Amino acid sequence: MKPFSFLTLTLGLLGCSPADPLSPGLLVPLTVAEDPTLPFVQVNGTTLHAEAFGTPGDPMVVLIHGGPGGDYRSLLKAASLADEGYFVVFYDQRGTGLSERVPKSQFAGAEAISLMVNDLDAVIGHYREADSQKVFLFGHSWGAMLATAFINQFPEKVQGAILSEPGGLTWPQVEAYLSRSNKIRLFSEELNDALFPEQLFSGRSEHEILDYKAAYFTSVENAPGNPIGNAGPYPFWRNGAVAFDALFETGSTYGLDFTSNLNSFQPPVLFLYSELNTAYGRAWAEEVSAPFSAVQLSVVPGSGHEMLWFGWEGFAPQVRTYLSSLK
Amino acid sequence: MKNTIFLLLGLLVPGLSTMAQQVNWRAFDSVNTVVGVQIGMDINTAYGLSVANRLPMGIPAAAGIEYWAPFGNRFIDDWNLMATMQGELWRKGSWSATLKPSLGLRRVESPVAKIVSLNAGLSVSGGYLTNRWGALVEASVDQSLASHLQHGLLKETYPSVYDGWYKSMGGTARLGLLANVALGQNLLSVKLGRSWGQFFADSPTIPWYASVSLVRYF
Repeated sequence: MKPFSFLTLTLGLLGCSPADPLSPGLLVPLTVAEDPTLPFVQVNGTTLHAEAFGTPGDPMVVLIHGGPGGDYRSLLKAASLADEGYFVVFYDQRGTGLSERVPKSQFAGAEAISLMVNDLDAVIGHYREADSQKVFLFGHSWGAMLATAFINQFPEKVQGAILSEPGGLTWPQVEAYLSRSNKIRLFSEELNDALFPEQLFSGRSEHEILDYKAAYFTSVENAPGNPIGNAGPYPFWRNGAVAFDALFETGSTYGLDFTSNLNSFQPPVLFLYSELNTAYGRAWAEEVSAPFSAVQLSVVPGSGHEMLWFGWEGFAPQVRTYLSSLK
Repeated sequence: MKNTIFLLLGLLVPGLSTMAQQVNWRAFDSVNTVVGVQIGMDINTAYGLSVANRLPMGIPAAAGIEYWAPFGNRFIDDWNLMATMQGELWRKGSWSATLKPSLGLRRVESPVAKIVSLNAGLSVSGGYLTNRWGALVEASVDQSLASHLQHGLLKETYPSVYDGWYKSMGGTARLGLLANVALGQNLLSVKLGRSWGQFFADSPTIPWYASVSLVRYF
């Protein structure tokens, strides 16, 4: 008898029938492909988890989450902008959050960033009611990078942008920022908490297991004393491990530069950095934001990198003032 | 047989033998018990202890216990405990081959979840052994058989996440080199190698392993 069969029998006799980790919904939440009650949009050949708040004809604010591979759950405090006359749109990017899982091949090659930009363009097109409706992008971390890539490609389609701590707008900037924000402490509890389970969840290509395994790395990102200043864990639905790996490979293989056409974008950009993120700071914010024609640089007090979750009270007034000036 | 002893070198690594070691059957002649300590990197940084005792068999053989734990400021939340057998299945002059099956229990505790996992491993090594030194190639596999997951932080973000027993979600394979040298009543051993996920399908975040162990015989 094979060892596993013996074990299964033993556990079965004890009333413990091991579950199949691939059963939908056991380890990670159901996606829009599995749960028809979730809000979604079908754009650009994929189904994205998406929802909107406010009156559809009002100026549109599109929230763009970080990662890559994150989701918009921790950005939802920004939905309160709907009470001030904005149509606020959230979506989980391709292959992330509660959006449908997609094969890694969809992110293959140098065009992966263009795919993400085109997805964003399609989401805006889905919700926009008239050509006169203003569009503001509101991107956090990787989402701020993606917003910048969109502006770089379509400067005429956006009337303003709020960018919170994009790691960098070129690949060398991204590498420089990651070297400060992801310090490796080999003997630390938090790193070993993330690595030790890799013995158990290894050699499997199913996205459910990869996404689940990625959740263990939240213990590193948000551990006490983390350099990016997060006060602790913040909410998420699912780590899009495949999207993260693929887009990171794209950056490291092909590089990226989202600054080549930014001088064509004339509206001022609200560029925010957090007080407690020691890997960022004003000097880095000035360097990263330099390619924009006009920048309003400001700090969000009392928060680390995840400032839409931990620092919304200090963040929101600056957003309201900025949007009002362009509304 | 007089030249059966062991040394156990190894300790650690879950389920198998990354950090765990097989005995230098030639190094000690009339020893019954071997105790070792080890430090190294395998998947993560780790330390370990091991003990092995000679088995009264027709071939050089030993049974032992290996304990391995990752570094961190919480002492006993993560660990791996393995029961091992090892025997010299083939010998020709100073050339030797050893087989080492193992069965163990592994515990993981992080803010995300608490896990208890049953696992099995098999290690095969072969090389040149003298009573002063040895050099071997070692290959091993470590398979999770079933795991019990009790979620913490993940329960807050996804309340429906299932707590309970799960079927195997993977395993690891390793290939490396091992060298040891006798220092009086002790044996110093060094391992270096490469790790892969189950069926070589992927690699862990840190795909290399290395360890140093010191074994004393009684």
